[in-house]
Amino acid sequence: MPRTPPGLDSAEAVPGVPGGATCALAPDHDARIRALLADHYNFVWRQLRRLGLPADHAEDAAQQVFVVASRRVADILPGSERSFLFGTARRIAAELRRKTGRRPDAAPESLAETPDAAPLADELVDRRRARAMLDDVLDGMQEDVRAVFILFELEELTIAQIAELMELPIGTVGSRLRRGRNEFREVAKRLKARGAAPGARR
Amino acid sequence: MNDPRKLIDESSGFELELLRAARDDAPSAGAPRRAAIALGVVAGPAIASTATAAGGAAGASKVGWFAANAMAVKAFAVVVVTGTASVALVHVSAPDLLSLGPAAPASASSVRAAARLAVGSSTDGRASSEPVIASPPAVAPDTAPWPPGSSMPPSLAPSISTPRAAPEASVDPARVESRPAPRVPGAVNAAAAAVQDAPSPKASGHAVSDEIAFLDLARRALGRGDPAEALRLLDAHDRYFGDGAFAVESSVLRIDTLEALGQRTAAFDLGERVLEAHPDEPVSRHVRSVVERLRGARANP
Repeated sequence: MPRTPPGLDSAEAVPGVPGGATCALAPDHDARIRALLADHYNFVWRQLRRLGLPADHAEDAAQQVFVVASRRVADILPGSERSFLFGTARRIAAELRRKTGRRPDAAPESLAETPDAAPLADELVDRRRARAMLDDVLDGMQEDVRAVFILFELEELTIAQIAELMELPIGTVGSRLRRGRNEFREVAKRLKARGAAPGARR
Repeated sequence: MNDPRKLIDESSGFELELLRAARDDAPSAGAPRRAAIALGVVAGPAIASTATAAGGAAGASKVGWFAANAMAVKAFAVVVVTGTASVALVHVSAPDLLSLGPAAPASASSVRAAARLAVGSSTDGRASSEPVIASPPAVAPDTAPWPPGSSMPPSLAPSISTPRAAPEASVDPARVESRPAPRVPGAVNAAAAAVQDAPSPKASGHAVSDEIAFLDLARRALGRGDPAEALRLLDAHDRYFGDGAFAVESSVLRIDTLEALGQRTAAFDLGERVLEAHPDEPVSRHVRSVVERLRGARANP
């Protein structure tokens, strides 16, 4: 079942203004874009984040993904929406990473958003530290291996679903997944040996 | 082919912690809606507000509206144009606004004014009586890396920039020229102002924070050297928010964007209109500097 992001659903409308009075494009187009956003925005954002973009850049990149989708919506076959969006997200994430030459730094707002500026709990710090280390682990993977790894291990898709999404043979997905898992374990082991594990500083 | 078990189901300790950390990955609540606004597939609160007023539904006084909503109003205002490093600057809490009394209902303009009280403050704790002015962005910083520890490219570092050449960018002129000249917020007739001042529920803190976050998207697009995308977002802002709480800031950002696109005449004209309508806004100093620079460039092409 598609996950509906907060603040929007596929029947999105401002009360009293059905269909959006400011919409310049065809109602069908707008309805389809709203449905794409409602059904897939969170998925796209998560993959952009896991493809190496920090949170605020992930939102910028997600905007670009849906701009592309909006322009090409007529070319997107029903049922292949997620595949199109994921492919676009990969290209845009790679482009942004190329431009910056590395993973852009996370925004300081992530700390400012802590409710009431309360002191960060150790647990929260550890979770953020663990997330940053996961980025490091993923950054060590080749992009095609990474894409399969994040879809299988983090998004929890099946190999068959990934094969369909990425338009790859199942065997190719399986071999990339094996490589990704091996690399993940090796890097995690090295990080742990260096005492980098969350909570290790305490 | 049988799928292997997920690593998260067979890992423990450190590996498990790493995998679990990804479960926090989620966009902010308003992100999908901001995308919908940017794509022009939802109507704006300005329209909803007008429809409400026209329908006579706005029977409650402004103060009554505010009193009913006051406890829900928590506007985290980011001065998106003037703030250094786009930091959150002010938390306009309900008691803060209530203290203004009945003569000062929480219209969008009062929220904006409250937000601007903090223009001189930044998250590093420094206080200043001067607004922090974001410099116009460099035109082509595509390859410039973000500086370490910063969320923004150097082009948006808070300083009064030195004059720079804005080459005539290759953009679709129809895209810029075909759109109506942007309104200068505040330069509206009394009837429009009356409608504008009647706050709709959309003019609550939620809409304000939506607007702030939305303008921040445009600012970041400009900062990463994508003024065409920034302009698209500013157009979407104007369509959706109309004369929103941060309409002036939107105009200022548009001036920088037009200049970055090489649309110097349009930037100059808009700058003059903003200065005429808002000679004493905190952002006026920045606008003045841009206008003077563009005037100089015109005199000495």
